[in-house]
Amino acid sequence: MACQEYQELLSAYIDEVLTEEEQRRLEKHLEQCSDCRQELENLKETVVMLQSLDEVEPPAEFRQQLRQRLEAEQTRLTVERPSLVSRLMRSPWLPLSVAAMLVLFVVAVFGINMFVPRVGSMPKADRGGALQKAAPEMDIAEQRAEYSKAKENGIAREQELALDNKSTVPTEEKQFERKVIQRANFTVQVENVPAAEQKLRSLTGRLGGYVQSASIGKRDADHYYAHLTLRVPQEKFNAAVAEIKQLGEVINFSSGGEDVTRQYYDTEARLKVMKEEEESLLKLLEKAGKLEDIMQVRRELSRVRQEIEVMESELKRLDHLTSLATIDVSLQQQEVPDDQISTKSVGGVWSRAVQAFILSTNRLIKGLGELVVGLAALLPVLLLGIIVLVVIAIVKFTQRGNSE
Amino acid sequence: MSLADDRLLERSKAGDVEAFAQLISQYEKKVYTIAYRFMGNHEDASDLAQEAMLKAYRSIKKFRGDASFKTWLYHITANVCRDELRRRSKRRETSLDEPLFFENDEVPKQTADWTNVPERVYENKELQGYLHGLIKALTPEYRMVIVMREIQGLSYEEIARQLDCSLGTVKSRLSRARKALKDKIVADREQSGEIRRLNK
Ligand SMILES: [Zn+2]
Repeated sequence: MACQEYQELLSAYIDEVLTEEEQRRLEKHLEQCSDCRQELENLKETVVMLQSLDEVEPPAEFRQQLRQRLEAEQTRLTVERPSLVSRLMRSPWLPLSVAAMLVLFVVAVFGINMFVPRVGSMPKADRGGALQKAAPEMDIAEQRAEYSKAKENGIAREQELALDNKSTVPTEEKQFERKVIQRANFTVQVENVPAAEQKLRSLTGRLGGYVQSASIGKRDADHYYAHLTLRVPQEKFNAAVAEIKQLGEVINFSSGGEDVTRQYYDTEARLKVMKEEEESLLKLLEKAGKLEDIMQVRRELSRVRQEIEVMESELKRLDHLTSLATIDVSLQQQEVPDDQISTKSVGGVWSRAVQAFILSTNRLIKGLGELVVGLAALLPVLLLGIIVLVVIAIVKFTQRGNSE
Repeated sequence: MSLADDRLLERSKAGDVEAFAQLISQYEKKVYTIAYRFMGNHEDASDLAQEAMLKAYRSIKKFRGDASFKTWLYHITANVCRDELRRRSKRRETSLDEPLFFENDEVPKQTADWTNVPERVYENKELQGYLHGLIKALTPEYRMVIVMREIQGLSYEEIARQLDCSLGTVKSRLSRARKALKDKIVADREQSGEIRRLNK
């Protein structure tokens, strides 16, 4: 075997995929041939360099673009999912299915005509009795199911309550501080929007929070509005909510919390494991002598470090979200009291009229749509009717022709 | 996969974009790297890495979990890139006897600093760019096996399965591609050594 042929085996030799026989022969040749040994060294080095290429950072706008495309995809999937009708309309089977429907219709009409009298002559009392007998049994079974379901729900609710109450948290979770992302949403009508906005700012500061964003503006000459997003410490959440309710008339209020306790401690545990791995890899790196080993360890190290980075940023995000509750407040100007002449309600009339117009137009469109659907449903019947009429006309016509 | 990831996966299957975005964010860099090594430039890499993730989003309901999510995602990425490469080369199959590994004059000019190589591949941005240029200059058939083996770390069997070719073909293509890269590297290094010697 010539050197050329041995050298063709080197790539597979590096990956250890030669047959035993090939490997044995190659290794024997390598012992004697320095050219092939050199070739192997160079090839190995190339492979190591390629495999140790760094991962590449995506461009800055990558995530944003991806997010947009994902969201577009989501709307496409939910909005444009082809309905059964449109899929049918596009189907090459459409003419055939229409024909089949007609045949079915004819069979059904004849069938009913043939069987209806016999069904009708069946004693009515009997049928009713059978139904009534079946009903109570079902009721009892259903009631039982309902009862046990309600019981389960009750227990589940009790358990939830127990979990919410920190003193009775199961021991397993006791060591964990609960991590909840707390949110509230307000719409409040106030007499003086700028004053209320100032009050919100000062109460946020007093409670040790900060105003994340705020916008204040005028809808018209004397109609102020404002939107604020406040961040207050978790434990001051209830106090803040109570104070905001005092600002004016609360039109809208919602609040809720997303429990991320498990997610948080999962990530933390994984992070700990990864850090330990990083530690031991670093020790390994000090000991590693061979080039290939060093490369291998460093590759592993960069992977581990990347994962650590991801987890740390996730923890930071959760910390940020859970340490401070988020409160969105929309402030609206209250209408002037009735003993003053108000021009504002005139504007209201116009917009209400517009709304009424839109509403009734929508209803009209919907009604028309239903009419079209109804007509379409009647189409086979109409078609059959037309065919029958045409046949009758032809028969009549030929009869008249015959009699003349 | 952790509990948190499992939950993200469940929510993604229900169509939750936020959950899906969070789930894939940990694999984003690797997906991008695979696309970048396959396609050679950032523009195509961005486009196809995103395409791959969209594809994963569309078909996540079909993800059974017999392979790891990561493997599944990288597999989709490689598929998307291969399809694009094949589409571009318009099924121009290179025969094994064809001596040409590098496309015309796209072969990178020698710019890398070869002192302390390859221990310092990590810290050497120039060298990384040079190696990337070499991979990029390979014809698609050879580039594919190189990326699948050296970047994705797939087995010969897996590569054969994904490329729908025999093990023998994988072996010989990989061997030829590696040899071509090695020859170029060795030649460039010798040349750079000579230049340094002349400069002294
Ligand atoms: Zn030899």
